[in-house]
Amino acid sequence: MDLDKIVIKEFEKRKQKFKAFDKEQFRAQIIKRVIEDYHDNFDLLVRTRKVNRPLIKFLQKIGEIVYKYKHVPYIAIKTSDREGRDLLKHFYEDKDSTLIKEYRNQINLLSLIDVASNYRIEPGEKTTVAKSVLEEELWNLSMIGAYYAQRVSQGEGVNVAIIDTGVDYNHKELKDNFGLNKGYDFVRGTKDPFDYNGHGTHVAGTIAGRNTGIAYKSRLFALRILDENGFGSEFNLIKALEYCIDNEIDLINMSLGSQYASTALEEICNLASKKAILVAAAGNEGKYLPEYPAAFGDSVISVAAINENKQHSYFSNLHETVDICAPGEMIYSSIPNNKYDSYSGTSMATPHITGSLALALSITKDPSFLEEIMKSSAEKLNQEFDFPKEYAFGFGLIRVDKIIGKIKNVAYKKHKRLFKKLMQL
Amino acid sequence: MVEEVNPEKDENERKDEKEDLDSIIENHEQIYIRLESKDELTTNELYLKIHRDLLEKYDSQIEVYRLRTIDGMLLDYSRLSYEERKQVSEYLTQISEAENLELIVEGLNPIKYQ
Repeated sequence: MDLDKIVIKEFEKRKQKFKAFDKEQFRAQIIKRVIEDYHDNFDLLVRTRKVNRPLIKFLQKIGEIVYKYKHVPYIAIKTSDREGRDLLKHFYEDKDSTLIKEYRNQINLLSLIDVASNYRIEPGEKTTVAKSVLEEELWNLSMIGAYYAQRVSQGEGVNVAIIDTGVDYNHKELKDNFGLNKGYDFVRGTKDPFDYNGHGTHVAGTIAGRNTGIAYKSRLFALRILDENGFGSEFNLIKALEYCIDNEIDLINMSLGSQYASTALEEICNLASKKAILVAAAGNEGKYLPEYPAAFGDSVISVAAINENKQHSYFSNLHETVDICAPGEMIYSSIPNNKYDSYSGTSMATPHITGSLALALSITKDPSFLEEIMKSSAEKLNQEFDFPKEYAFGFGLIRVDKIIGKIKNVAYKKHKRLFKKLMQL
Repeated sequence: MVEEVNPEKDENERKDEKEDLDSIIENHEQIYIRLESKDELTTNELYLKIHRDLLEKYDSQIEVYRLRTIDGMLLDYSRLSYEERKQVSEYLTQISEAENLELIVEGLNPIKYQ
């Protein structure tokens, strides 16, 4: 049986377990930890079958509605007062109370109330609950096969540099991915690469976020070269690439670019590509345009964006140097101060490639054939254009599950030969 | 011995190069410079001299970064006036001419997040 089939089978088993778990233990957790312990603040994610005015009024009694998700049927609620908790207590403990009878119609519209991931419960259980909600929400990770691939690899031992606006290394999604050396701030010339914009933290969340990311055990280095407005120059980009060459970085994510480039930048990208894999954004002008460093050709993987329907994103640049594409619209990820948000751009597509390659590098430290495997296992996309579709998609949509499957196959074949040789001795 | 890279550079060529340099100084606040020679030792010494001379003259007004992995230096003279920038480029031209090395100057471009 091939690896893909084994992974899918295990995943299905796990999903079954989640369902059973959700119904019984989940309710007990809510009562014990939220209702009885009375935490000061907690956030809820409410899944609804339908949203109407009476339901909104009911939910407002539980707490403040802070967000209604666009792509999934969830509403986020911040509860802070006792009245809201009491209502929940009735809801869970006393199903025959008059209060619950009064709101029966509204309650029937709710299919699940889940605690958002900042709620403090036992680590194992918390991960299970939070992940079950996020798996439905993060269509981008499902689309590239990240959840399957994570069963085999989580990116251990891979050093990833994020050349961007910095990263909030204290974010709960990312704090475990940083060591003592967090990277460098080339804008201010300090060793503290904190993010004052949000872009870099979002990118980092997709690469390695505990719930929002792909290679969540990889080690991150934040190299801040873009200021709080998202602007920088080749001057600091070249310096950051030199840092990567000196610090044994395996993968370099550059969700940035310019339509112009110096030969100095090209030269250092060529050199860096001998020691690491460079991944960059194809650009957001939505036209036939080169964007550097992505458009340098062989030394850098150029990434275009697609939407949830696997269609070319209207803003994603078209160019013959585009190598691959990934989800880049309404990507949900971390932003500074333990918050989350959805961003769009080829910047958001790029970390999907970086994260995927980190999973692959973690199980094969040999990057020489990795780019070829990535291209050959990409999912071909079809859309009518009046230009070659490779300009929009490159080799197609990255499929990290297939990359991991192929690497495992290669490894197995290698061992098979070795085993046969040993038997002949 | 330093090898002459382009000994027969004519006047027109020098004029074109000067115009290019002026345009770079006018349009870029950060530049990349490289001295072309096959004698690595001499160019290394020259880079050190340039670094020392520029910091001595402009102190914190200029940032000079010697690249370790590729040949050349980065200069950030965004805090200098246009006249001062011209002085820097004239100084660089003089050094390259005195040592008979070719001076490559490139403007560095702004980049932004995507």
